[in-house]
Amino acid sequence: MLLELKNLSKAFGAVVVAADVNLAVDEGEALGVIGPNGAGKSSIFNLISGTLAPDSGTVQLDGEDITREPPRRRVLAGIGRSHQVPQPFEHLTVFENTVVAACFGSGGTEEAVRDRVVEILYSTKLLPKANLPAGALTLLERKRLEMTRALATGPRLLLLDEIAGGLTEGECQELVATVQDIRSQGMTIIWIEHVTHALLAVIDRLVALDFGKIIAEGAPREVMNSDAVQRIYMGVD
Amino acid sequence: MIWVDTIVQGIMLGGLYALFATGLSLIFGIMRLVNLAHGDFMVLGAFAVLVGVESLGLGIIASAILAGAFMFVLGYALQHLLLNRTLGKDLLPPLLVTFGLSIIIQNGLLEGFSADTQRLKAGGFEEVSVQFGAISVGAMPILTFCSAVVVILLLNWLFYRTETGRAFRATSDDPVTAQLMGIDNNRIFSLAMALAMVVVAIAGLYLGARATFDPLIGPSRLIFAFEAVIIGGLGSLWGTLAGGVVLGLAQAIGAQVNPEWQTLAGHIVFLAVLIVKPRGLFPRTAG
Amino acid sequence: MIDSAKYSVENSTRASRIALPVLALVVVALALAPLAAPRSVILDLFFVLYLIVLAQCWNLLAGYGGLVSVGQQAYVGAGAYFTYGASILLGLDPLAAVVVAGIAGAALSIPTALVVFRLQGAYFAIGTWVAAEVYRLIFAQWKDLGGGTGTSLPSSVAKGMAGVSWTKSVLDLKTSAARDVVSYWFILALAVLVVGASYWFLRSRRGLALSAIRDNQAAAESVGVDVVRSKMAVYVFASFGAALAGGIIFFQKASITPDSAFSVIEWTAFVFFVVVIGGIGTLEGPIIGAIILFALQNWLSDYATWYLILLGAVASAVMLVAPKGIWGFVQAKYDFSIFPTRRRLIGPDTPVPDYTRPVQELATPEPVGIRGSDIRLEEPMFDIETDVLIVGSGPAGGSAAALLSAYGVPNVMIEKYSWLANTPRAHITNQRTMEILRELGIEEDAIAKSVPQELMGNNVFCTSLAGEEIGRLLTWGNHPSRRADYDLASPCRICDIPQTLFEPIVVGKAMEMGTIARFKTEYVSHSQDASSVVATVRDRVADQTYRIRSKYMIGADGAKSAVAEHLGLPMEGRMGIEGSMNIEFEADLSRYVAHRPSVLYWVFQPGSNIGGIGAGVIRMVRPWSKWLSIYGYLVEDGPPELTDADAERIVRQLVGDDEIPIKITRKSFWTVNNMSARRFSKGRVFCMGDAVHRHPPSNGLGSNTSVQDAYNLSWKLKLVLDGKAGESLLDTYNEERQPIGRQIVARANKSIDDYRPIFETLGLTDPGSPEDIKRRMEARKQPTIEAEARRKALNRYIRRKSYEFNCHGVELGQRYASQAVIPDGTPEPEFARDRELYYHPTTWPGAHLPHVWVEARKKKVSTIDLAGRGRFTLFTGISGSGWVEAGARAQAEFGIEIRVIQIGPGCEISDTFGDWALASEVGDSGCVLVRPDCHVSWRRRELAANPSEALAGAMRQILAKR
Repeated sequence: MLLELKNLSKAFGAVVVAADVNLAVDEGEALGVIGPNGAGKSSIFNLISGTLAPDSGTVQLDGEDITREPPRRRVLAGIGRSHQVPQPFEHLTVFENTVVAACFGSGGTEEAVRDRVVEILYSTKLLPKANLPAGALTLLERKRLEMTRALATGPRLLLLDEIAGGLTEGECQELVATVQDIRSQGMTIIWIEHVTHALLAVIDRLVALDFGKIIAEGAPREVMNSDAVQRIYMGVD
Repeated sequence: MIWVDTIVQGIMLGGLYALFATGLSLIFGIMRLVNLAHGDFMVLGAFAVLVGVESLGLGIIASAILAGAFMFVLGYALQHLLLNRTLGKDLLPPLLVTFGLSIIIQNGLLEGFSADTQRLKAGGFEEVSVQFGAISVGAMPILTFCSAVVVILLLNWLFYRTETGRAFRATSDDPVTAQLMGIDNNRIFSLAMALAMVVVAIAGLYLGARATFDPLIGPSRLIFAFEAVIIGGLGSLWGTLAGGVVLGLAQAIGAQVNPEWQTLAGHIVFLAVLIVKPRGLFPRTAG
Repeated sequence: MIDSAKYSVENSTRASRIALPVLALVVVALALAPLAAPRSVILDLFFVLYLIVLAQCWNLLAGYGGLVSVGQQAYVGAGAYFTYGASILLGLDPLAAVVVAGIAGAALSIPTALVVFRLQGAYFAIGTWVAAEVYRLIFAQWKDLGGGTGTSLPSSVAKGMAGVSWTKSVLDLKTSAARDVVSYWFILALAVLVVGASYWFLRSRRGLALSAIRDNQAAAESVGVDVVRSKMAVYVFASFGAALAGGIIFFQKASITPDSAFSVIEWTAFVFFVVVIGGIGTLEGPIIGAIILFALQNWLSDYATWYLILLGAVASAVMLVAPKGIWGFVQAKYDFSIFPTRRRLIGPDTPVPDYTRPVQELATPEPVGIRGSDIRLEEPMFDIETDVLIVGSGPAGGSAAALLSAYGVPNVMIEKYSWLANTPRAHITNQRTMEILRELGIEEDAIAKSVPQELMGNNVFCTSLAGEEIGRLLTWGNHPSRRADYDLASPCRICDIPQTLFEPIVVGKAMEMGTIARFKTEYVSHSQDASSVVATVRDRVADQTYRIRSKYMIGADGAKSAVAEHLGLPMEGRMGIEGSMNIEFEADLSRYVAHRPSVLYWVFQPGSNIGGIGAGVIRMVRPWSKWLSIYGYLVEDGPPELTDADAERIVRQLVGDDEIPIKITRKSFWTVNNMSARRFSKGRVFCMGDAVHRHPPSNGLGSNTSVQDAYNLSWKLKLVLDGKAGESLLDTYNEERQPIGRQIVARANKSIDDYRPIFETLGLTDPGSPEDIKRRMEARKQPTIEAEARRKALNRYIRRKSYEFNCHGVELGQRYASQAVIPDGTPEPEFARDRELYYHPTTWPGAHLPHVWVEARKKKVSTIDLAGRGRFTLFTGISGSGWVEAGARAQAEFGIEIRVIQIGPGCEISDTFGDWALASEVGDSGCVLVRPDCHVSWRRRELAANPSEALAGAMRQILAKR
C-alpha cells in the first residue's frame, strides 16, 4: 500500500470536490481516474500533493500520515506531480527547468543529477529542446516538460494530470509508450485523463469520479461499461 | 477628558486618512495598480488649489472645483498615455514608473514652488470649532470626516447603481470577459484613474487646509494611506474608512503620550495588524 | 538508452572566458588607483563602487528574487548607525565596526522579513518602505548618536584605525585623505565580493532555484524548492550587503543624520535607476548602470531637481520601452555575457539555439495580467474524441451513424438544428433502402409509418386534380408486369415515407446503438493530418466552440455542404438551374384521388411548366389530407414574394377547386441542381449524400442514394479502424460511388426534360390566351389525323415517364468496379431489356447479391438476409465444402468474420424453389463472396484447386492487405 486516502473530504462552500474518498494504491500499480469536468479529479491530486488541505480525512504515504505535511515535504517524500495547465519556468531552459526539479525534488548537486536529467529528457523526447527557454515551447511540449519535471523529482508516486489532451494520435501513442516505460521501471502512477483509449492502454485499475465521489472502481473495461459511467458520459454536455 | 478629546481627534484624523486612502483603494481595486506617486498627487492637488487661490484669486471652493477638474483630466491622460502600458503580469513596471513619477512630481513642484511650506487658507474656517458638551472639535476636522463619508457613499452609489460602475466592477472582476462584452478596458481604467484623481484632489484640499504642506511630504502621506488600506482590509471602501480611523486613533493616542511618537505609533499598530491579521480587520475580497 | 557520459554542462561562453580575466585586471588597476589618481577621482570611484554594491544587492533581491523592495535604505541606515555606535560608543576599529554593523543589519532583517513577507507584490514594496520609516523613527531616538539631528564621526576614530597610518605613510596623505583611500579599498573589496558572491550564487543550484521562484513561485514549490527559505536568504544577504555599504559610506562621510542615513532618494531611488537602466536581472547591468548614473550626475550635478526629474523620466521610459535595460538589450542582441549563468547542455541531439534570435514566447493559456488591450483566444470548451465524426443527421448521416454503431464503431453525429427534418422532402423509399433498414432491424417501424406500394402508383397527368385527366401511368411497380419485377428483386417492398418520419427512425436507432448525437452543434471547420481529423464545432446552445477529434470524418451536411467546400472537392455541373417552390397544405382531397391513389399527381397547365421540375406537382404526404405541391419559378428572377394568399391561389389552380377548404402550412424555395462531385473524399474526410450529388427529386433517388453511400462506406471504415484492412480500401468508396452519384444526377435532370414533349403535344407551350390554349388542348380530341397523331405522341411521351417512375434498373442495378471487386474474367452479362427500366440480377462481381427466397429451419429467408450485417458471406453449394474450411482459415488469418453458407438439400439453408441454383450463376462447388454491403466481390465457378489460397488471395486484395 503506497498511497492511502481515508475518508478524504473537501468542499468549497457548496462545491464538494471530495466526498469521503477512500482510495488505496499499491506500489507499482497504475491507476486511472476519469470523470466529467468538475468531478474533483484535480482536487484529489491537490489533496495528495498537499496544495490543498482537506476538511477531514487523511492521506498516508507508505503508512505514514502526511496529511499535515506541506507540499515541499511531500515532493521530497516521493510524490511527483504534473499539472493540468503547464507551469514552466519560462525564462529558464528546459534543461534548467528539469535540473531545478531534480536538485530540489530529490536532492543533490547539479553535477550529481546531471546524468539522470539527461536520461529523463531523453525518455520524454525533450532532449533536442534542452537548451530552449521554456517560454518558447509549444503547448504540447510544455505538457511533456510537466511530466519531465515531475519525473526529475525522483518520485515513487507519479501523478499525471491530463497529459494527453491536445495530442494527435501518433503523439498519443508515443506518450502511452513513454508512460508504459516509466511503469515498467516500477513507478506507481495515478493518471487522470479524458483521452480514455490512452489511459486504458496502460492502467490496471480504473476509478470514476463524479461530484467528488467515487462512483465506480475496478477493472478498466468493466468500469467503462458500467451503468454509472455510461450515464455520466452519455448525459454530459 | 483628555482621552475623550484624543479619541475624537483620532477619529477625525481618521477621516483625513480615509480620504487619502480611498483613491489608492479605488485604483487597486479596479486595476490592481499601486500608485507609488499617490501621496505626491495629493500634494499636487493641494498645490493646484493653492494656484487657484493665490494666482487666480478664486475662493477656495472654486479653486477646489477647478483643481478637481484639472486632476480629472490629468488622471485620465496619465492612465491613457502612460500607466495603461504598464499593466500586465509583471509588477515591476507600474512600481518603477510610478516611483519615477513620484520623483518627477516632487522635484517638479520644488522647481515650481520652492521648498517653502504652504498652507491653504479657508477664510478663517479652520479656526472654527464646535462644542459637543465638554469637548470641542474643530469644524475643519468634522468637515473632513464628513467629506470622507460622503465621498465613500458617492463612490459606492457609483459602483453599485450606475452603468459605469457596473463596467468598473466587471472589468475588475474579469477583465477578459468584460472585454468580450464590449467594454473597453483601457477606457475604463482611464476613467477610473480620472475619478480617483478627483478623490485625490479632494484629499489634497483637506491636506492643505488642515496642515502645512510642501513638495516633499508626498511619500509620508502615501504611507498613511497605505497603512489605512491595509489595516482596514482590501475590498471595501467602508473598510478603508475603518482603517483610517484606527490609524488616526493610533497616531492621536501616540501623540498624546509623546508628540515625537505620533507616526511611529501608527506604524506600530500597522505592523501589529499585519502580524496578527494579515488580511486586515475587515477584509472583503482576496485583493 | 542513452549514454549520458556524452553530455556535459557548460556555463562559460567564449566572451566570458575573455571578459572575466579582463575584469580581473580592471580590479587590480582600480586597487592601484590611489597611487596615481587624485582624491576627487578616488571619491568618484567610491561613489560608483558603492552604487554597484547597493545595486547588485537590490538586483539580486528584485531582479532575481522577485522581491521588489522600496525599503533597503533601512539597512543602509542601520548599518551606518551601528557603525557609528560600535566605533564611537564601543571603541571598535571602524572597519571592524562596519563588519559588525553589517552583521547586525542582517540580523535585523530577519524579523523585518517575517513581517513584510506577509504582503505581496506592490503592497510588499510599500511595506518595506514603512519598515524603513520605522527604522528611521526609531534610530532617530538614539540620543547618544545625536537623535534627530545626527552627529559626526570624531577624527580620532579615523586616525586610530587600522590601515590609515600605513596608507598615510605609503601614499603620503593626510588623515582624511587616507581615510578616504581606506574606505575606497574597503568598498572595492566589498564590490568585488558582492559581485563575486552573487555570481557564485547564481551559478549554484540555489541561484537557479531563485530564478525558478521568480518565474513561477507555485511551480517552484511543487518541485520541492523551499520558497520561503530562499526568499529569506536573499533578503538577508541583500540587507547584509546594504548594511555593510551603509557603514562604509557613512564612515567616509564622517557625519550622519536620520534623514540622510535613511534617505529614499539616495539609497533606493538611485539604486532603482541604476538597476533598471543598466539591466535588471543581469549581473552586468548594475555595473553599467552605476557608471551611467555617475556620468549623468556629473553632467547635471548643478541641476539638482532637474537631474532627478530627468532620472525619473529616463527610468520610466526604459521600463516601458526596453524593460530589460541596456545590458538586457546587449544580451538579447549579441548573447554576450561577462557573467554567464545559463546552463547549456552539450551533447548529441542537444542543439543550442541562437539566443539572439527573438524567441517566439508563447503566452501561457491562463490570462493573468489585465493589460487593457489583451484579447484572449477562446479556450476550447473540451475536446471529444471518437473514431468517426458524422456531420449531418439526414438520410446519409443518420444511416452512417446507425450502421457504424451497429458495427461497434464509436461515432459522434452532429446536427446544426435542434431536431431532424421538419419538412417532408424525400419520400420514395426504394427496396435497397428498405433492405438496409431491415438489416438494422427497423424495417417494421418504417413500414408502420409508410404509405404502401399499392397506394403509390397511380401517376396521374391532368390539367388539374379536379379537371381533365390527360393520361395515367402505373408506377413504382404497380403495373402487374412491373409488380413481378419488383417482387422478384427484393424481400422488401418499395414504400413512401416522408423524411420527417424517416429520419427519427434511423437516427433513433443509431442513438440507441451508441451514436452520440449532438444537436444544435454546428460544424465550423476542420483540419486533418496523417492520423486524425480535428473538427471545430460550435455548440449553439452554450455558444462555445470546441473541437472534436476523430480518426475519420463524414461530411453529410447536404446540398450546401460546408465540409465539401472546405475540402475543396472538385464539382461538375451547375446549381440553380431552375427555381422551385414547395407549398405544403392541408386539404381533404379524397374525392379527387381516392379512386386513383398515388403519391404524385402531375398537373399540366399554362404556367406549370415554367421553372420547377417540369410540371406542377401535387404530392401526397399523408393520404389524403396532407399534401405538398411543387410549382416553378424562373430562377433568374429569384424567388417571388409568396404570400399565403398567393400560395393558396397556386394550390387551387393545381387542384382545380375554388371552394374546397385549404390550409397553407408552409412555403419554401429551392432550386433544381445538376451537380456532382468528381471526388467524394479527401484524406480522412468522406462526403456523402446531397453534399456530393445534388439533383432534383425526380426519380426519387436522392435519399436512397444517400443511404446507400453510407452503406458502402461504413463497413470499410469499420475494417480499417479495426486494423483489419489497409487504408486504401477507403479509396474504393470513391471509385464505386462516384459514378453512381453522377449517374443519378444525370438521370434526375433528364427526367425533367422529358416533360417538355408532353407540354408541347398538349399545345401548352405555344403562346396564346387561355382560350387559345384550351382550344389547342381540346384539339387532340378531334377525329382528325393530326389529332390522332397527337394522341399517339402523347401516349408515347407519357409512357416514357416510366423512366422516372419505374426505373427499376437505376434503383437497384448499381454495379461496382474497384479494388474491392475482383473480376472473374467473364464479360458483363447482356442486358436482355432496357437496363434503366429493368433490374438485371446477377452475381457478376460488383453487382448486388440477387435476392432469392430460401429456407432456413422451415422459415422463409432471403439470401439478402443471410448477407450483410457487417461481415463477409461466402455462398456455396454442397460440393463446395472445401470453401468452408477456406472460410475458417481466412477468418483466422484476417481476423474478420467470414460466414460460409452452404445452400442445398440437407444443409441448414435449403434452396426451396431451386432459384438459388440459377441465380448464383456458379456451379454447386463454386462460391460467391459477398461483401458486408451485399455486393458480390468475388466468385468462382467451381472449387479451386486450393480454395484456402484462392479465398485468401481474394481477401487480401479486397482488404488491401499486401
